Amino acid sequence: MTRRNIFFYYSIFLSICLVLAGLTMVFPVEAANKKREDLIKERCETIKDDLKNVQREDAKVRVHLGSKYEIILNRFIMPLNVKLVEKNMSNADLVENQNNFVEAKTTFSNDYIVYQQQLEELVAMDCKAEPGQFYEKLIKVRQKRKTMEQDTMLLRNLISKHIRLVTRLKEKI
Amino acid sequence: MDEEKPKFRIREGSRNLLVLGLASILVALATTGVSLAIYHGSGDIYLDRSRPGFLPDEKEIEDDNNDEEEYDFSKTGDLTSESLGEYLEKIGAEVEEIDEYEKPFDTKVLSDEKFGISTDDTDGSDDSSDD
Repeated sequence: MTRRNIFFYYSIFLSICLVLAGLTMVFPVEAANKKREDLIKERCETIKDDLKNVQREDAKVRVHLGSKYEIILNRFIMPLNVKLVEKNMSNADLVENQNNFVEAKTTFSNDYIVYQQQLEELVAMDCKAEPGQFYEKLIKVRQKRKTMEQDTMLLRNLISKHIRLVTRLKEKI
Repeated sequence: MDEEKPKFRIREGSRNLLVLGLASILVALATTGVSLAIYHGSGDIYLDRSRPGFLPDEKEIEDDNNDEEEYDFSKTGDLTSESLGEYLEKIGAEVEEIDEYEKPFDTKVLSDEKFGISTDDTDGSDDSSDD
């Protein structure tokens, strides 16, 4: 056996191994997808009811949090900064935090609209006829919901930062 | 010919009335369509709690009707340690109400496990047995 033949057979062996490895990875994924699609078809109505409940609960949370953010901005953060400017005690950190809060609040409102539009499209989809597409859409809606979760966390952190800054200011006075 | 003239006038009048009626309906449909498009496109629809199925529950209505005096930090007057103390106390109360929702928009609500569509064998069997 020449060296060239050994190399040739070795290449063929390696190629077969790679193809088999690929197949063992692809088939379980396809089987899992098929199983998921079957489950989506089977539970279609229940999933839709759950999604509608999520919509209702989200509207409640959005209105509650939105009104609280509005109160904190208009009755606490802004009047304090105005007062500090009038007293020539303007605090750059507090002003920066106010700007960040306004920006984050706007992002929160805009992201909620996009998220709800996508959720509405998901609810309108026929999960029995198109379970695969329904699942793809569900993944997109999840990502949007993740954004909403991050938005609320950012706003909460900005409120905490504001409280810390005011506490420090109180100690100085 | 002279006798037919009044008949023609009545016909023309009724036709004009019909056109007016149809035009009114078309204008009403167009303006309603534009209004609904704006209502939907602006996202106001998602904040509208008066929609069927989105009505506020009893607790929310009670909270709305609560006549407690609302705190408003005064933009004028002296800035003292006491006024800031009250400020922190009042903002703390608002924060507590925000924290009522421990994990707003928690992603677990839309998870495979929640919907019973997880391909994990243990979850799948559990969920299917529930139904």
